[in-house]
Amino acid sequence: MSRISVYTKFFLIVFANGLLFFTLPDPLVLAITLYFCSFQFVDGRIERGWHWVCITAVFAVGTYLAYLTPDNLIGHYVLFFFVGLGKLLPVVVVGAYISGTTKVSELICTLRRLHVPQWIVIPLSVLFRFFPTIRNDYRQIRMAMKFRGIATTTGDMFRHPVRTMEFIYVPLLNNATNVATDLASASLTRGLTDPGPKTSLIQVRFTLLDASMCLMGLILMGGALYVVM
Amino acid sequence: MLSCDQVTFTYEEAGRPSIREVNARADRGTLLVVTGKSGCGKTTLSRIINGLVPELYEGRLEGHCLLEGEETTSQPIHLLSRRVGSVFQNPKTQFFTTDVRSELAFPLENMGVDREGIRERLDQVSELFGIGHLLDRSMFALSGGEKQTVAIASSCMADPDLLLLDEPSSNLDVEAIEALRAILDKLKGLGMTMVVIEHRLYYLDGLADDFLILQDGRVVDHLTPSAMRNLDRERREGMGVRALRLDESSKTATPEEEGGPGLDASRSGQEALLRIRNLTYSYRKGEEKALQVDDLTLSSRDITGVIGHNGAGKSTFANLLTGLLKPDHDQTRFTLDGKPQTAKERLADSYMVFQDVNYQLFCETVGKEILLGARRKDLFDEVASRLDLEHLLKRHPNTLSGGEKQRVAIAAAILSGKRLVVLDEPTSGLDLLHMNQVTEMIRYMRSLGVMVVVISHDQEFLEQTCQRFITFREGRPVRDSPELGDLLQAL
Repeated sequence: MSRISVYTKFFLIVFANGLLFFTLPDPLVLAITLYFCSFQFVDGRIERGWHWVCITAVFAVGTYLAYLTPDNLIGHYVLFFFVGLGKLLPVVVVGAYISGTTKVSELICTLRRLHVPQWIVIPLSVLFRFFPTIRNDYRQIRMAMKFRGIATTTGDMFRHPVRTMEFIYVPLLNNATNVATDLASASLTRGLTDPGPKTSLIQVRFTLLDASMCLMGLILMGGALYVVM
Repeated sequence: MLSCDQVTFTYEEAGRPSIREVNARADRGTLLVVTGKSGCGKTTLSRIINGLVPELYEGRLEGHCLLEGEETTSQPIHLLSRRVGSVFQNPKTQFFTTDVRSELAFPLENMGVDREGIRERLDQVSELFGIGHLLDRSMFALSGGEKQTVAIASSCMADPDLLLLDEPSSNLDVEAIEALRAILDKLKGLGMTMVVIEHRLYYLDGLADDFLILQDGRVVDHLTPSAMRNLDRERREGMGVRALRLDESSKTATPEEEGGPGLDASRSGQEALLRIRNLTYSYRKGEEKALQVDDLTLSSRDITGVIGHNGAGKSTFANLLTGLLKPDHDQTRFTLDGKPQTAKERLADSYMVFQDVNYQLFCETVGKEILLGARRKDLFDEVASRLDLEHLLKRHPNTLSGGEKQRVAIAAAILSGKRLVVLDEPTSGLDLLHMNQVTEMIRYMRSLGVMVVVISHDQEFLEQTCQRFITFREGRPVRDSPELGDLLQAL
């Protein structure tokens, strides 16, 4: 289980997305991105942590060098790659961290404690229930397509993108409809519609660790605001 | 405990009732089995017992279904669900959360039980079901049998008076069915009242106290276990019910064979032979071999049954056979009628009918569906009539029943004109009639000269369909026999 609470993760989401609206000096962006990477280490995911630190480093160096590239098509492409995609890097780092360390039950529990209404919590939990199945569904559908002689190679998929999309979407959605009916039965017979107050087995606590990580984030945020002002 | 009195139910927009004047009783601590053909109304009855009628399925209900004297359908489903636990057919689609612990806690969280209470009950239930080691696993990482165990455990969390199981065995393999039997036995020992809706009956022998047989929505028979055991075969099959004892099923009157196997090949002219030599496969380089087949020849004369435990290499074998996977090295030889075949050629020459056929239906009508990618369009009329699809050709595949969808998938396999067809667990969730139908379709494929390989755990089905049984264990074929014998031992 993650050592960082969902509350802090919400803070990270807001912070990372807020960055998209401002242009900050490169060293500050680098510091903020490394701060995001540090959460992987805090949660003991050392290898992942280094993985993201390396990617961050590649983009930092790339961004620095990109300004030196010539003013032609290739130069612009390099510039776009590092600066354009680099802009999204903090969001990706945060996204990867949160999706890798958060249990759906933690998220639901937190949302309930924040008094988010049921009509948001239930569809959201169903959505998370579906995500992990999509990869397996996709694999099965691709296999089925190969037996029918449709888009047997990856190249074919790109040659007829619309056709391919259709052949993937139709069974994917049909299947989702069937699963949704079954899920409705299973959850209704387990009391999902109970109007009384709900409880959670999982405890979500805002700890000292959360506080100190958030404080670091706030300092960086303050720095960013100071620069922007 | 439970008593249904003259229950008649008509779904909204349906012309006629799905069940009529059904009377049923389950006393405290007993196990009632409700059986009958697909579409006989078993599931409808279960929905009245667990309150999905009228919550999810609306319609007109007459008569009374009483749980301890209280009408089930007039209480809100969240209250009824505390007293009636429900387990459904498909282990993959009945869990709502993503990890085992949360799945078990889910019903109690909905009821508003405090954390200490949930924890205590969770300990009790996980000990009872022996699933302590699974608590921190992801639901997606469990086997079908484990998922089904968790589903039963989860519906026992609220300590219900009655447990209702709707075809709990249909997606399980033999061993998981044994585990299911052990769980039901344990629950029965604890005095749980159970209603089990099932096609497959053998595992309930010795557990069931009563058998209720439905046909076209009516109760046609109500039998004690001994009467059920002694039910004569003709009558049992007339009611579309599978055998209670497996030794009896082998003597099942199966659809007549059209001539011997030798004659069958006549239409295609000759026997096709696929020889496989030096086949090895590992999922990652250098890792242990997931599959090793030294020399094996498959013939279009025999319908070959492939059996084995979960993870024994059956699916890997099928994927290599059909060219979805490529073998480890170049020394592997696949030769069809003496001609070597590459993985790409095998893919072009083979077809697989999945366990879950929903993934292989792409079109907006059944007619288009079975013609998609077809090379034998000339067989269209014949196949449509033999597989009883003529009246369905204009329907959307997703509006069909499970058995109908499967017939469409098999029709597409036949019209594809491929020489090898692999069927993966083609009988999960099928009643006697549909199981026999699958056997007939497979025989028809063989008569067209198609080489058919069936992966299955269904003893009744394997015995009546295949002439050759290959057992896989730890990635190797370890037994190759024309006799199946006892499936559990054959594994």
